[in-house]
Amino acid sequence: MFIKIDFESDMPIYEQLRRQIIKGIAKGDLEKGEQLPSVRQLAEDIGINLHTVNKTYNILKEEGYLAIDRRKGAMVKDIMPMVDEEYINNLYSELEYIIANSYCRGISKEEFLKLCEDIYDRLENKQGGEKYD
Amino acid sequence: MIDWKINKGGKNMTERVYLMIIYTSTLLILLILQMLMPKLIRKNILFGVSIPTNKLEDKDIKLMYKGYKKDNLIIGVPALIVVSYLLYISKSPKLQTILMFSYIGILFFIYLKYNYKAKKLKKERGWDKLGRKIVVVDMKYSRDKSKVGNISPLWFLIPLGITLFNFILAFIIYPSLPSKIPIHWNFQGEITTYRDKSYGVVLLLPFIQLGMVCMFYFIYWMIKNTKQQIDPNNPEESLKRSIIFKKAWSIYLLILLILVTVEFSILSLLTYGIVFETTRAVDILNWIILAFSIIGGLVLSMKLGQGGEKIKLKEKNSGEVIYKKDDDEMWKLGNTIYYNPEDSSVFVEKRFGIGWTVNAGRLLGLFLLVLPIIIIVLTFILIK
Repeated sequence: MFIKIDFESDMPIYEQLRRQIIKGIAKGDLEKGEQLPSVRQLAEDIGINLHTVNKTYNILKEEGYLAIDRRKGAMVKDIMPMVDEEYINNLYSELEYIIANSYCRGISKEEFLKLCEDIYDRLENKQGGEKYD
Repeated sequence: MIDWKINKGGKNMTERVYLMIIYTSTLLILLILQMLMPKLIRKNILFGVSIPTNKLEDKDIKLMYKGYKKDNLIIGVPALIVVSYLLYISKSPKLQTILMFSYIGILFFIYLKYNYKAKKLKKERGWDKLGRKIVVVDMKYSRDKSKVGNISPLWFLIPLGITLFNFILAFIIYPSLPSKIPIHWNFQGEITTYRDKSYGVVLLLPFIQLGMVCMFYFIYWMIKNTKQQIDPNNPEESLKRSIIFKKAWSIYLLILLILVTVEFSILSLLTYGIVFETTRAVDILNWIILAFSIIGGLVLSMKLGQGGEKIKLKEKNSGEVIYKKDDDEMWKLGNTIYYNPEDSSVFVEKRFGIGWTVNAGRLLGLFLLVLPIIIIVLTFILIK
């Protein structure tokens, strides 16, 4: 799986990395139980500080996507994190902002739902489409 | 190897001519490499300066390549003749070393001039402000680096075995050696210098051999651990290229190391006075090693280019151009030294040249950068 890091983006690098790993898991590019590169290796290859990668891995561990083993390093968990109330609340406020933003720009409900459907379909068919990156 | 055989006192005519030919051809190869280099390095690097891929057809860039070739011919060739003559008439090895280095200095200045021009052009055209700065990394490759993409470290057991055999042989044969041991031969293969027998003298060669094995293994380890460079426009192909590139150079290193250790073993047998009575075998091996290292190195450089840039693979054109991350400001001294404390990589690809260099922003990198300079200065002070 290829990850792209944009050094000029407003989004911090650890967050970009976190999102790409989650996307990779959803698309099936990263399989359950699969080992991730070591913190040092990934930091060296991207050309960033060790702490940045460490931060991403720790956040993903707390979210329940990764398990960190002392010897094997970071691995994708076999059981994906559950949906809890906190997550739903988060989802609601994030979506509210995104939909509000789209609504202001004149994107219709149908168009928006069509986009959502496409994204879901892509994930279910495990197609590594990059269209909406 | 040549050092081993140079008779320090009273060089004769043929020996001096022979040495001058070796020195001059070394310098000539450097000049040829310097002239070919702009076309061997990564396409998007112009004299060490990164240029957006879609701007490479610029008229001024082509003019710059032409001017560089011309400058190298006008300055490099006459300077080579002068330096060769001076090398021939100069008697002290110290002076000869200075002469060799000053020629390399001249070549470097020609490069610096064009590096400066390239920087200026980039600024004038506003290419430094173009697009986003993106890095692409393959997670799987990053993880499996130690397993895929290079030859197995077990191959190094061959040269290590040859070395250990030499050590064991030295200990077995030591009691039966005469009290004087030959350590120097002239170009006719006659023994010129003897030394009193001691473990220091007998074990010198095996220890140098062991040092060589360690050094080559270190370079192999470095190749394995360099930062991966992936073109965001063509991630899969550029990854394949870089794997082929690393593998090819590692195999080259391994073969060279095996040849060198074999030669050291034969030299040892020569010192013990068993098996060989002449230096002919060493001479032949010397030529093989010299030819293999030069021709092999040139062929690999020209066929593969920096990072495998010249390997032809099917490329899909994605239309949209993604601009690579521009880290020019991290490259110092005419874009030859990488200094980036934020980057945790110790080894990175060279900007202008084939192979890898260190990140002077890391402690280990800085140490490895300064080490050869210290060694050269120390040898200069110690050899009087």
